[in-house]
Amino acid sequence: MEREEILAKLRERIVAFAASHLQRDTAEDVAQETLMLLHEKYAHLERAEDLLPLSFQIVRFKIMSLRRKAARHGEYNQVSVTDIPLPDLDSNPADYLERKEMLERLTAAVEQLGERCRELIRLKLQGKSFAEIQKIMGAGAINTVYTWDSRCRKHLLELMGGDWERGKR
Amino acid sequence: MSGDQVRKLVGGYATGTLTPEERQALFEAALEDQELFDALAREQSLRDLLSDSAARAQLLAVLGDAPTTWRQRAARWMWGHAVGLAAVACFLTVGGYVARQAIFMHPPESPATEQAAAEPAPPRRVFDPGSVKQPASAMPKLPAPPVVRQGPAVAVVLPPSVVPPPPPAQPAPRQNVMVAGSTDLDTGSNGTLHFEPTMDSISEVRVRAAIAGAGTLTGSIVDSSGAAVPGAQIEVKNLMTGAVRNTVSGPEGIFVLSSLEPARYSLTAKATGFKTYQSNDLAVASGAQLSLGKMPLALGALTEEIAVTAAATPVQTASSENSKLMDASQLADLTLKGRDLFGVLATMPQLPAARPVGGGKIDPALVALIRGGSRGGAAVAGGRPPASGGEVNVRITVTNASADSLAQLKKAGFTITRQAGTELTGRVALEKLETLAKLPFVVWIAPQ
Repeated sequence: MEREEILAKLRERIVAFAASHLQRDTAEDVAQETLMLLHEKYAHLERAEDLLPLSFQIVRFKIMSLRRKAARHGEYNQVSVTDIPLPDLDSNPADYLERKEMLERLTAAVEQLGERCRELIRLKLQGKSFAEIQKIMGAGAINTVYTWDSRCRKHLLELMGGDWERGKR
Repeated sequence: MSGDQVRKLVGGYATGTLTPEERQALFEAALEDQELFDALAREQSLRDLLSDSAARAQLLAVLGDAPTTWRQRAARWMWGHAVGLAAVACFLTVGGYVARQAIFMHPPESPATEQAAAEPAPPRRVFDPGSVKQPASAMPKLPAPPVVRQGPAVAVVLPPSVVPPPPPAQPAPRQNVMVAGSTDLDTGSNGTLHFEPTMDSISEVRVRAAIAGAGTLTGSIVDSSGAAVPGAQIEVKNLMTGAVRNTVSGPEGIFVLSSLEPARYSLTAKATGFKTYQSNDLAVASGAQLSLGKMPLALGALTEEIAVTAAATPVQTASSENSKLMDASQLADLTLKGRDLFGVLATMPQLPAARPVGGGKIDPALVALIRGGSRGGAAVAGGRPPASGGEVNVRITVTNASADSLAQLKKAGFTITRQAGTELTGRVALEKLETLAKLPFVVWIAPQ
């Protein structure tokens, strides 16, 4: 798939995703600013597996920034591309506290999981691939591990209230 | 890879579990599937969190060192129960032996024995980490592995490798010393922990040190109405070493001081217009994240502060050069106007007054030519023709145009070309102008 084709589809996906969190106009702005950033700073990236993770990160920080601005000013404002830095997770105390809270919720949720899910997550956190996990856990097929992981993720997400960050809104 | 399989890969994105092939399949599918795209986008926050190695380590510590394979887990379960069964057998054997000895030594009709038998067994002591009276420093001296004691004669060493997995319904509490399961523990007189299995269970004792590390202090600076106070100066001082750390509260009044070594600290928060907030004796434990909550600053007395931003010009000792800068406005405001640029220098402070060239008898344009000539011929007399061959055409006004005066002028280098009364016209070398000006009968020398 060509870069232009990927970016066109990416724009469509980002607008739809951001529209589920923001107003439609703001969502389109977020998509546009994300694509501008990808175009200006990451012109050398061409593959979907490189562009998508980056866009997820940019979109997340743009949405977070918009929410914080809205909380501060009581209204939605457009944010300049240059106002949104690339993530530096240690720089902002608010980020730090949000991560701390998320980690506490995640820790509490993980403790409630069953033994198999705990072991699966432990192996994933240790950096094992699904193929390695299949061997270690003695699963018959890799699809079995995919299924286990999908169920565990779903269960963990339910235990955290349906959202990784701050529960159901 | 089928579409259904690809959707199951979402969980591997946050943990970085995916292989390049799996990533490619997942992201290409996400471009076509909005639901999958949204799920992945929502995973980003978890991915960002797990990219922090400290957060990963904390989660791994919670997940513990569970057995790796189902076979290993089954083997460990069997081995754990085998130890339990062996312990039960030993207890029964020894108990039976002791009972027989008791019956043999004391006849059954003894009322004391009956009374003792009728008394209820003392309640089991359940280990409570808070009830251990040993000082914290004694805790690392605990023998590892713990000793399993069965009756007065049996001691079974239970290595950590045969510890069965904890029951999922009873998660281990997260503390520096963790004891999982329903184990009855007794702190011996020498400060050691003894593991006493009961008839119905043998559980595990897991003593695990928390991840040692630096502590963190966080808090939020607010005013008396609860509004955030940004830019407050926060200072914490280690009461043991005197080391000081500083930070400033953020736009939302929040501050974070990380990497604090475990110690007792005093904290001071200052902001303009507020009284100083002080908190003494904050104990930061290893790895602790101590939140001080909202720290209200009371309004302080208004103080005025005068900041002097202009600095006096220091005395230059490195060079004897005396230079001044005169800007255009100074020139424009000068009341003494004239054509002598260098005359302006006389108005500059700390400069010696410029000596008037030629006793003030020479036109400024000629003075400029003289000075320009002495500085390499720079043309400073605007509009005036430059002197040719070092000579200029001048007009000299004299008080008395006598033959003697004319002879003196000629001797001084002035070549007379025309005479009209007391005005003489002629040529003279630039360097001779001052000599001409010194003649007492010369009144004025001007360019022709």
